[in-house]
Amino acid sequence: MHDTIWFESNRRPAVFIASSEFEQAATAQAEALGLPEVRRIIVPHPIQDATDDEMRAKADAIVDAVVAALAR
Amino acid sequence: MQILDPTDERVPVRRSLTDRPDAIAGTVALLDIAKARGDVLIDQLEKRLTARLPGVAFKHYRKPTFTKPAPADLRRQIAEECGFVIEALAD
Repeated sequence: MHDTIWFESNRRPAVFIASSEFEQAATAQAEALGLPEVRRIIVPHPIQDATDDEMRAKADAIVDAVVAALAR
Repeated sequence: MQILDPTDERVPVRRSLTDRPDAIAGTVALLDIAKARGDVLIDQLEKRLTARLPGVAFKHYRKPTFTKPAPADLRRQIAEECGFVIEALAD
């Protein structure tokens, strides 16, 4: 989150991807760092014990959201 | 005698999102924060985005550790080489 906000501050559109387990922490960090509207995309938990196919499915599900986060 | 208050009452600096262009162009950074399994998601995102965004280039970067922000020189390198950043995957 710190990095994503640094890039925004340096005029680089950025998006941060996190699991649902991290959502509350991401919101708290974004507020603490002064950019609550920082673009972030949440993918469903679990991550660590997900299979490769499950991880790829999570990626497939957010492609549109990633594009929308970086451009108008 | 000087008395210091150790509590943090600072109000965070208010920042704003940078303007978005109409379309993604140029080079996009794929920043891996170095948590397990994130690389699989990032590689698949690159595959899908490459098909979706012809002419856009993707460059991979990796933080040394997810426990702290990226080193300043890595941040600067990414900002110099890329116009957009996708950072993943916090868990």
